[in-house]
Amino acid sequence: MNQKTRGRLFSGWFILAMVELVAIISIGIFFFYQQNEDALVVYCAHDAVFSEEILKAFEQRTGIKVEPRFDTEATKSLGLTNLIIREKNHPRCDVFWNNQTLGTVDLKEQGLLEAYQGEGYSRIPDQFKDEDGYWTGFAARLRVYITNTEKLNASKESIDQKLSGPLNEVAIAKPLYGTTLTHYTVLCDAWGLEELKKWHHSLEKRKIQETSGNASVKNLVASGACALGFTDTDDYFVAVDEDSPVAALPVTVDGRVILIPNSVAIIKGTKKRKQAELLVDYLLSEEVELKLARSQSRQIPLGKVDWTHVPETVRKFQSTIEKAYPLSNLVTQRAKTLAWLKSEYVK
Amino acid sequence: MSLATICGVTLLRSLIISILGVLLSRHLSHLINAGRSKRSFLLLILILTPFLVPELIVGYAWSLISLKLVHYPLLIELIYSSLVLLKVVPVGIVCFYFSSPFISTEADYIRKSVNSNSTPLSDLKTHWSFFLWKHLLPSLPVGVLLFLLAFQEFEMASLIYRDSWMVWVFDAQAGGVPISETISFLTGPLLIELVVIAGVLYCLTRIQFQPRLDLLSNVKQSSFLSTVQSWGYVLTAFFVVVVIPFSLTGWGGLISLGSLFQNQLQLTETLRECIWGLVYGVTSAIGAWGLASFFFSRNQPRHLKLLGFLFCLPGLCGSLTLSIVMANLFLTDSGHWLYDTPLAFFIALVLFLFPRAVFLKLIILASQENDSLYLTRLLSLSKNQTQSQSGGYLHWSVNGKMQYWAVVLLAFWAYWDVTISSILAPNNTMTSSIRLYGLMHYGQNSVLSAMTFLNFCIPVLISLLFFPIVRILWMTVSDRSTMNKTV
Repeated sequence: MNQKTRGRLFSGWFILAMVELVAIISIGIFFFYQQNEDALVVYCAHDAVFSEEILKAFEQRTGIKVEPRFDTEATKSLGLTNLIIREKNHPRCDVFWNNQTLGTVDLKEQGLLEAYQGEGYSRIPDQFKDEDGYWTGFAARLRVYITNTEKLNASKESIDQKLSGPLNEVAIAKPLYGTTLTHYTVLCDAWGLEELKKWHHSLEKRKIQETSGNASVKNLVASGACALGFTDTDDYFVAVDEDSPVAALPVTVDGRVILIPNSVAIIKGTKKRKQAELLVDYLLSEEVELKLARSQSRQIPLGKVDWTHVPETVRKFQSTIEKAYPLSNLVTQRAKTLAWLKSEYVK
Repeated sequence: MSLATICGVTLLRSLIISILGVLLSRHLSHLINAGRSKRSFLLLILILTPFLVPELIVGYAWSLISLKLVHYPLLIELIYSSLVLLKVVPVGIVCFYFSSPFISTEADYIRKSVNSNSTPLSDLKTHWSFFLWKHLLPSLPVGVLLFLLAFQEFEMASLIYRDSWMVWVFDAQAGGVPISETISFLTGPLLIELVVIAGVLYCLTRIQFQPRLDLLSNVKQSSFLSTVQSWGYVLTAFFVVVVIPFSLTGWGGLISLGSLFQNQLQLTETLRECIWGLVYGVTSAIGAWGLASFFFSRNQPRHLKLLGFLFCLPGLCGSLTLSIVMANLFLTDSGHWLYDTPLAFFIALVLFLFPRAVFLKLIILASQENDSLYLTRLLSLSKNQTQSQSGGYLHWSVNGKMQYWAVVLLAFWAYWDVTISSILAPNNTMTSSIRLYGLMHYGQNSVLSAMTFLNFCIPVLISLLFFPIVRILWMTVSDRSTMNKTV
């Protein structure tokens, strides 16, 4: 049989794709104009599992729609702090809820924040907030040693002994970002950069297990693959809730603990200043600090709260608040540490 | 490790995987050829499923297993490389299955039979020529495809903590490296990809005018041992990439589905993101398939097909490169009005899916016979209603059904994409794969398994649900004007 089936230049699929493209462009333009008017855009580095509930409660209470963008391991590629820097000419974010402070301090240095000192600001102790009100800390995590109790006691002596020998059963996250960077910055401040470099190279030489994040440190210790690790209390409590054989001991530097608060700031150029202020005050309220203390991440309240409403597991860390290493003046140390770490890792 | 070293590690790993992948694929394609007459649907499912299981699920399951092996990095490397190999081999099998040989078995037999004599056929040049046309040239495009898939693998490397240039660039970004610097980091890997793509395009242009042999005439009889080995491989791959991950997530998911349903906020957000994932997946799949159908329909002129191949380049350079460049483009003064809208995300997904759509399109074209298509169309035009319905149904069976599953597959890939979604998806329309990927880094818990299981089941069920609806629509509105000329 001699026949030919000839396709037309524009097939049905192609026409469908074109119709779809037009629809998508229309929706895109609609989104652009709508986003300028509607919701309060919140970049949130705190875990979605815990922060979503708080943002929803704010929405219900005030009627202000919140559009969150969460920072996860996946969005690390643009990292919310970096994203705010990149978007500085065309800012999308109104309020930044960071899960630490040093990144927010960096944004202040770059002139990307607006000052606000509302009622929430006044209830937070001075050591955890910017003196001009560009950012305010709340609900903190503690940097801790996590140990697998089947392999190691969570006592200072046994941890020190473990850290003085081979480290193939000790885990730490890559210090280029997150709270491990904060930890390194504190060490840089306390010891000086040269001493920090020596310490870091000594860890490497003794084959410490370097992982991608604190959660994987927790996973390694909880599973028994490692006996000891450096992590934060929120990850430690995840292991506790999973009934893993773990214990924690705060990391101390010069007798002080590394307490890493969440921080909140208003982004420069926001067109929803009033709504942003309301959210900042809400996040800095006693209610939110208690909610975060009762959540699975068990954050430590920094402002004045009724401690009888705080779970026992968190209450035992109350005394550490006064022993916290001051973080608000570590901008130079952070920059120095980061520059050195980039030369080590990003080459 | 420096980027150059990590790039070298990824390159070496991908080369080994692609060489092994080609050898395995060639061997295993004989299994399908042998089973072709039996229309062994089960065999095809067994072979293809490892490629279809999302990397996120495989990486998640195996990261839990590899956690215990932290003191044996070589073993973890072996596990990771094997997983990548098992996932890319199905692509190679499909390629070999649908490609036609240049050397017939008869010609090869003659060459072998005169090998011992001092005839012109036994000299080195002829041996090389046979090797080139019999093994090297048909394998090269397949090898390059497998190489690109292995070289661009990201999700599993990230979850199993393996060195890979994509993970490295991700980490560099997290350290606050400016986007211009990141793009400069991409130069090396991009160059490698472009060189191999250019090489394979050159080969394809050289071999496209060679006469092809009928596939059926070259079906070889495999030995019993070879068949047993092939089946052994297929079952192992299915067990490692499908059974183990789904046992972990499925079992955990089933026992804690109740807890997930109790957490209304988590469930609502997961479902909302799942729906957004489906919307983006389906629209971008239709977009990519529409473009592939336009550029690569059977009688399209050469220059359009060439243009189509050029459109493949952004997608072939990998999702990370593509999304970083797109994000940069949409953050400029002229492009920012579309930044954080579905359009930027949609374009990136279409570009990402386009080479895959072209691949599927070419496979479908290779498997369809013009005669049967023509006959089904002729039957569907019959004035007798029963004949017309049968013709419509047959046309759906030989053409529409494959296109439907091709679009479903593309949508599924877009649905599970993490890289492009995390960088370009608008704030209020994030997809569920990002939430899952973030949570997977915190380790396993049964609620996460339930979420993963739910996120896997929803698109699968919807695609099955829509199948009869699309079939009816296809048969109703099937365009009769495609057959407009009979010579």
